[in-house]
Amino acid sequence: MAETSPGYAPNTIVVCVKWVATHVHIDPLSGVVAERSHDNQFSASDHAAVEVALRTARAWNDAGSPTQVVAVCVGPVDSEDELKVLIADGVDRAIRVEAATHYSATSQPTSRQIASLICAVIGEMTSGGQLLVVCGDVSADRGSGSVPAFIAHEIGCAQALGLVEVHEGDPGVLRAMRRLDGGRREELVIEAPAVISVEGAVAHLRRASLQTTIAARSATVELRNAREIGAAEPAIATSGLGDGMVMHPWRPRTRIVPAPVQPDALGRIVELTGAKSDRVPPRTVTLEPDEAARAILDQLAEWGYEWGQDSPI
Amino acid sequence: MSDFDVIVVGAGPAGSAAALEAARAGMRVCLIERGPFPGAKNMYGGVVYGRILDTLIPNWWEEAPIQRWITRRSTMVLTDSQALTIDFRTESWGKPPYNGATTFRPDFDAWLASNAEEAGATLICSTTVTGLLRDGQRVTGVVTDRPDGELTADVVIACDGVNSFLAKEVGLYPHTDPSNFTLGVKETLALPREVIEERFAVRGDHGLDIEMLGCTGDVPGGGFLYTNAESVSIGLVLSLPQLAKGGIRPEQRLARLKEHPAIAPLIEGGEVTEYSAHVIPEAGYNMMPELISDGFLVAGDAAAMCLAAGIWLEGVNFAIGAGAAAGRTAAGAVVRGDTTADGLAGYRTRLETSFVLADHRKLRDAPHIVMSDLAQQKVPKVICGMAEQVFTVVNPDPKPGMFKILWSELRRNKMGIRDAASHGIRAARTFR
Amino acid sequence: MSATNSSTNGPSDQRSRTSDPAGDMPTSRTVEASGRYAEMSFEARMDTVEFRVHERAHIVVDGRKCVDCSVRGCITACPANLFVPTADGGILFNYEQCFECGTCYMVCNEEGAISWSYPEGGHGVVFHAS
Ligand SMILES: Cc1cc2nc3c(=O)[nH]c(=O)nc-3n(C[C@H](O)[C@H](O)[C@H](O)COP(=O)(O)OP(=O)(O)OC[C@H]3O[C@@H](n4cnc5c(N)ncnc54)[C@H](O)[C@@H]3O)c2cc1C
Ligand code: SF4
Ligand code: SF4
Repeated sequence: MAETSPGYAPNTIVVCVKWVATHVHIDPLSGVVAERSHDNQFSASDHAAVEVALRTARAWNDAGSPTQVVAVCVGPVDSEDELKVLIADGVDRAIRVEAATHYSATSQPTSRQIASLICAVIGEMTSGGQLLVVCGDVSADRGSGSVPAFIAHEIGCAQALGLVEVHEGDPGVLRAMRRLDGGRREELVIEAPAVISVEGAVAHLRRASLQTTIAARSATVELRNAREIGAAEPAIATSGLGDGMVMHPWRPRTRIVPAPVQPDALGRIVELTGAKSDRVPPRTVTLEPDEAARAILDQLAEWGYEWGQDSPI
Repeated sequence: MSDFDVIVVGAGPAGSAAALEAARAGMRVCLIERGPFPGAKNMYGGVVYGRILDTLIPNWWEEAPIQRWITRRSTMVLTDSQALTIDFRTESWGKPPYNGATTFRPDFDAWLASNAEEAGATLICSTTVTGLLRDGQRVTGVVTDRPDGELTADVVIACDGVNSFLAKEVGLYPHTDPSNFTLGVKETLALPREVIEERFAVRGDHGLDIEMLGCTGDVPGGGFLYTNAESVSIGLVLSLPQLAKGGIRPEQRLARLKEHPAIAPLIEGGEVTEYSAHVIPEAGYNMMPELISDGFLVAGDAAAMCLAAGIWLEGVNFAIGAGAAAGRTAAGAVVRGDTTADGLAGYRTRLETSFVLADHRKLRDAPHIVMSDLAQQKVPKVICGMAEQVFTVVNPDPKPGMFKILWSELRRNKMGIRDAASHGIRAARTFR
Repeated sequence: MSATNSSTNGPSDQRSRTSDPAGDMPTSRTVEASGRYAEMSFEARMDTVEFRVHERAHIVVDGRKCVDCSVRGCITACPANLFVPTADGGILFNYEQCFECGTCYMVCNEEGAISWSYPEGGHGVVFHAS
């Protein structure tokens, strides 16, 4: 697309924003999941990603390396109003990808499918300049945060996920801080092309001026159709459920414990808690994934957890 | 030149109707709303009366986000242990053009605003108007809380709801007297569709609307219960000064209503999906501010145009009626090039010839009568007491005569016959 | 711009307090003998409402003025129960879960005790099913 927009810059910063239901109602009795109207937003971390992209673009622009920011959302038409808000905030273009299945409380395309759609959009934009993809790290619906990893994999570039601090450097370069285990931090120098994801607290999204807000109301959100941009159409990932199966809230399995036989109360409690019985020391085994899963289930069964007929294996 | 011909503040029913009519008349209109979407800040009891929409959006019923069409309307008079209900139903309200419908404001207001947008108005959300731009007495625009947030216009229409800070800024509104306001609190209770059909004896997309008197204890007010598609809305309207003095919190009063033997079975098992609250301008015509100033009009709740008088709780239709009139007047004035108070004077005439001010003037005493101690505390007891006596079989004693029953109930509730008569006459005159 | 806070954790410790001068209002109980559901707790009630909390308070209460106030109507009337009396006779106010209704400034009888405004556009209460 960049070649068809003359004057547009070689550098492209793509921000991925996810349209999520922030409040899902789960009926406690039936487990039916329902969304409320007007309840979808971009998450705080996605907003932070937009701000990081805008700041980076400004720094690179100021350094004489023209840069455009493009927001991409695989989401329903409802998201367009909020995409226009991002245009008011300073994003140069906003693209919405229409797919048969969008994120919602009841259907979830997989991260990989979303990533491949976003990569298809990125594909039309690469014009030889630097490419940076910025995502929020975790969305308000507690997604897996794995979309950026899939994007990096598909593009074949570096990734730095879950950043807690980002400083824009020379064109094509960022300095960032990432959390490590044990309260440690790691400073990174990231060179484009790269995919980064940022935490919500990295930056507060600016408040657009009144004039740009008004102007953005008549801006267009570009539309791509999942089928037409050649990426695989996301199918519903129904968490393994087939047709006609009902989703129900997760409840822990019942563990059957034999009645204690000790004559006195204290003895019965000691027996129930297993405090004095011999304890099998933990063991470490190295297995292939499906053997490992089976071993875990066998162990649970041995401990008395009932799987009933709907055993997951 | 001004940035816009007309700026409308607040995308509630009044604001969207104003923006719709002004945009249709060819004006450049900006509709500014502080919520993230129109309706986000708005709650009400739950019934919109659609007749006023006929003129604005033909066949509105085919596209409006309706929960249920009201085909059954009840008025309930309660005491602590009694309830007398007058119940009316008609199938004619269940087909076009319909009468009233339950709908959620976040849905309805967003829909109405989208109509204004389609007509050409520019809708700006998430933007609070914090003040007015003025040139001497003349209003020339608004100040918002966004950076570079000033915007000019030939006419500003304030549809900013019950707190009406803009009308106050222009000096149209005198000091706010809390006794002119009530607090509405409400719970939306989820119930399955079949349960609603069974409990309220309605089918399909038909629904029931119950208004209640005598359910607010020592605080003047009333109650309501409306059916939505898969929930019911139950709430109370409570007069502010007495609520503040009474020592019992609003949700506690609501809990008491929910335990009333006539109400509890209707809502049993309903899970609260949203608790909400909002203030209502209760005093009607007598508290209305001036409506017009140079370059400035006020419409809807901002001008106390809500009709809250006993069995009526209507504000959305009045707001739409007033907003539409304001929008048309503003457009006419801009075209003529005279947007002074004189140039805008047609607004008041428009309202007076329509139901908006005609109904309010006719019912100007109604709020006072309905909120009076007599109507609130004694009448429900007398009415329920009479009903109980009439329907209690006392044989072998002979049935007492009606007059005797009335007399004994009046006496029991310490209500003088003269009081009752004068009150009755006043009410009859008001509601005739 | 602040982080979005969907209907969560206001200061919850103050909410367990249920003022009930009349003494007979239902508070949180277990399921009654009649099998009816108990009234929900006040925190649970407020958790049904979405608040997109802004970092700056839109309502500020000057607790010094409250010391002279005998009526204290705000405590009873605020539907969100945001006014909490303190031991020294003042008022502790939290703005986060406010309906922006206006009740408090209308019932307040001390001039200037409450500075009231709307939150920044896009923030504050968001209704969905009202
Ligand atoms: C408990 C209760 C029950 C009710 N029941 C019914 C009923 O059953 N039927 C009925 O018809 N009516 C009912 N009403 C009345 C009805 O809700 C109102 O009369 C009606 O909403 C008035 O419409 P409006 O457009 O004037 O104001 P509002 O609906 O209050 O709209 C005002 C709008 O302006 C926006 N705004 C305010 N200030 C600013 C600012 N500074 N900058 C930008 N935007 C701003 C607000 O966000 C809001 O969207 C009820 C009211 C209550 C409280
Ligand atoms: S009513 Fe006003 S002065 Fe009195 S306690 Fe409340 S806020 Fe303070
Ligand atoms: S505006 Fe309403 S909800 Fe907010 S503090 Fe005042 S009374 Fe309470």
